[in-house]
Amino acid sequence: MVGASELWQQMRYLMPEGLLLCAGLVILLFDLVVKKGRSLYPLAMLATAGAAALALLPLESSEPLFFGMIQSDAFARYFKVFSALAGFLVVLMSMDYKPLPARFVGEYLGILVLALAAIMLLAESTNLLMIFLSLEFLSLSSYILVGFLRNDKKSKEASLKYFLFGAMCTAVMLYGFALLYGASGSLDLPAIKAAFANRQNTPLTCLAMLFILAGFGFKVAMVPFHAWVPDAYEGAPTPITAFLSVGSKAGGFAVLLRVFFTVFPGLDYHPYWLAVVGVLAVFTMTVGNVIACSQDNLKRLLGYSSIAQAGYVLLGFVVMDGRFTQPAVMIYLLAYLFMNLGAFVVVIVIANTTGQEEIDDLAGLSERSPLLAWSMFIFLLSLAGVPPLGGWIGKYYIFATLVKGYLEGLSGGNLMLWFAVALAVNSVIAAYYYFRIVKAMFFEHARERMARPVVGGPLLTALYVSLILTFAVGLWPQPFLNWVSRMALPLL
Amino acid sequence: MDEILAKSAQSSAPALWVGAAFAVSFGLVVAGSLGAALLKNLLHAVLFLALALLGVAGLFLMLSSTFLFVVQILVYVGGVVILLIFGVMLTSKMAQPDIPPRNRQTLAAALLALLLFCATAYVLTTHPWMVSAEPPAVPVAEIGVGLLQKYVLPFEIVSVVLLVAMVGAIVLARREPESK
Amino acid sequence: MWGCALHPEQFYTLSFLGVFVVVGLLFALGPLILAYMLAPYRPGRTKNETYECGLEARGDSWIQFRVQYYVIALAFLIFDLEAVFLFPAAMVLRERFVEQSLSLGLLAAVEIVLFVAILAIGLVYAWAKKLLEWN
Repeated sequence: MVGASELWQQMRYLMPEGLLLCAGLVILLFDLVVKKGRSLYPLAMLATAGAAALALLPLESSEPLFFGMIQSDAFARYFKVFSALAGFLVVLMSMDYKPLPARFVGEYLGILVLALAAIMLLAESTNLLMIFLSLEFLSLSSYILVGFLRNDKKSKEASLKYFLFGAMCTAVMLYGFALLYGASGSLDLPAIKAAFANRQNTPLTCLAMLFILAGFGFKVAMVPFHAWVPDAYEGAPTPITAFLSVGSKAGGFAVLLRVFFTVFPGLDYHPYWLAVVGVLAVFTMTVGNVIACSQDNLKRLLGYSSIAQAGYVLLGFVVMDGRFTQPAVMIYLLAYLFMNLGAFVVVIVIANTTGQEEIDDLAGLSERSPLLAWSMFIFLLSLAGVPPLGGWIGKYYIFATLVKGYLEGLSGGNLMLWFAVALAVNSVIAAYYYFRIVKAMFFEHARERMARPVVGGPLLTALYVSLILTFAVGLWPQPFLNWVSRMALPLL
Repeated sequence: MDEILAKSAQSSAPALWVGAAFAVSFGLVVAGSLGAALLKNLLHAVLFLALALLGVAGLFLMLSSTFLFVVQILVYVGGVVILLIFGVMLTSKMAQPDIPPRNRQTLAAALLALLLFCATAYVLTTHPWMVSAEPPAVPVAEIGVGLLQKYVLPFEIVSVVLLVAMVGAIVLARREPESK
Repeated sequence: MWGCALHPEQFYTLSFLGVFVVVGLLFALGPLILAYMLAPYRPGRTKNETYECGLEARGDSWIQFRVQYYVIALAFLIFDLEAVFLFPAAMVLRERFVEQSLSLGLLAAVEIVLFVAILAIGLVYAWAKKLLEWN
């Protein structure tokens, strides 16, 4: 029998998400009393910054907490920091995002802050029920946030498509959970692992894992569960697009890593399984990159680009080795957070200026606003994986992971070499469409009526933070790498 | 499973009746789902969904989850279906929607669903399940203990999720009040 | 083989439910079937009108309803679910206080109150946004 004092002790580890949950509820309540919704922005910023600070405190425990529901270990703490940081930047980006209806700012911020807490809970869940609940929490908040531009048909369409697709994937995932429960007799991940240890591979576990992959794949935008991405990304308010592309995706990767590392090592068929994931990863990046080449809308283009980026990260999973996989995936996500959010900051400024988000709207940006043009240039270079920027470090580590896996003769080694080749080819394709944007910014002339973009304080802050950290991860990767390696899940 | 059937045969609760009750629930689920997926009139589709949900309630009962049985009827048949009916009645052309329930991809989708069904059915029928001799009857009080002990964190999170669902649905569904 | 895990005793208890369902269905459908078989059927223009006497019905009965119904149904559903969760929790509350320690009882009470309080924010929200007023 666990009493109040034990639970209270365990609450220490839940401070970041506790703060966000409280802040979300307080924002929803304050919204009912304050006249101007804008006055809630400082509260949301304070909450996200506070949560990031609390998550940075070295408070972690490898013990199961709350009766095995969660485990607030270093790995979870990494994603807490990640989520709070992403949330802070997204709140900054939302402040000057014009299309957001002023009447609903309270609800917007409240739900956004709660969604960040959902990511944190997702990253630390060690029980299938808890995983499902936090995943649904995150999804539900995301559907609502995507549809927030109530007078915009595209936003409504985006929300509906996202919802229908998500409901479908979640249902399949839930079926997978049920099968996994049937096969192992437990909902707790450690118990499931113990049940699978030294057991023959059965078709049931294969099917369960495949079904579960549908739910997680939907969150990280893995092919063939990517179909929602272009419409949802285009229709959503741009800060929410940015949130989906980093926050929600990171949540998906967190739970994917945890389930992979907790449940899989016990199964004797995981080489085949890794081949499946690898092939899916190659499909994911190829589909994302090839379709991105023909996009004219910036948000759609970045959407397809984010599908491709998910493919790169998934390749990191192919080498199921704790020494390589986790740091590679985590450093990639960290670099991706800053470069992708930075690119979306520029998109917001452009949309505020011209009212739309086409590549043509960037024409002659280098004359109208050199700062924006050069920042965008940096972010795109980083996304393309050009040294010495953050994206390069991420891609380098994924690549190195594959090559190391090959050299160390891990099972399926030859396949890994092919995956590495696919990664290189895809980087070239990606460079094509990133440079289409660069071409518009630097080599095309502005249409006459185009105004000079004005960047307000919050957006400028978000821009500088993204810029500095994109450089920092690329130029001084060692401290980040050390940190990330310390935060990896313990090897089993 | 056979033991239970044998037991029920001994105590003269004939297996035939059990089978019949199961068949009815199963039939309700299948017929209801088919109707919900294929009917053009949205309201009729929702009513068929209610049938399917009722069938699921029947399945819960057969699995001796009486609490879930009641919850299923109370929440799904009594609540969710009503909400769906209101939702349908909000749409302007509910009897004759422009979008047909079938399109070019129907065949492919049906084939995929069939494939998935066959794979699942094969796996479920061939797996050596560990069957407990005693049916797992869970008293309601035990569920309460679970909610307050082991599942206390999800229990509290559920309330936040419900709150988000409510606020979000209101934001999305609410009509813009007349501007002053 | 039938996917049934019912105890024989349970089966007997529940068979009353089955009888009730069957009788209920017969009670509802019986008159309809009887009427179909026995009643004379002579349709005419006036007979087919919605109201044989009274106002002439115009247009379709499929009309669009107000959004407010939806919002209220939604609030109902949320609190319906709340009741579902509270019911089992409330069942053990007394036992907690009486048979176990006061602190465990208080802990359970706090958990329940927290659950209700968070959902109450939803009610306050709907109330303050004037969604419960019928205008």
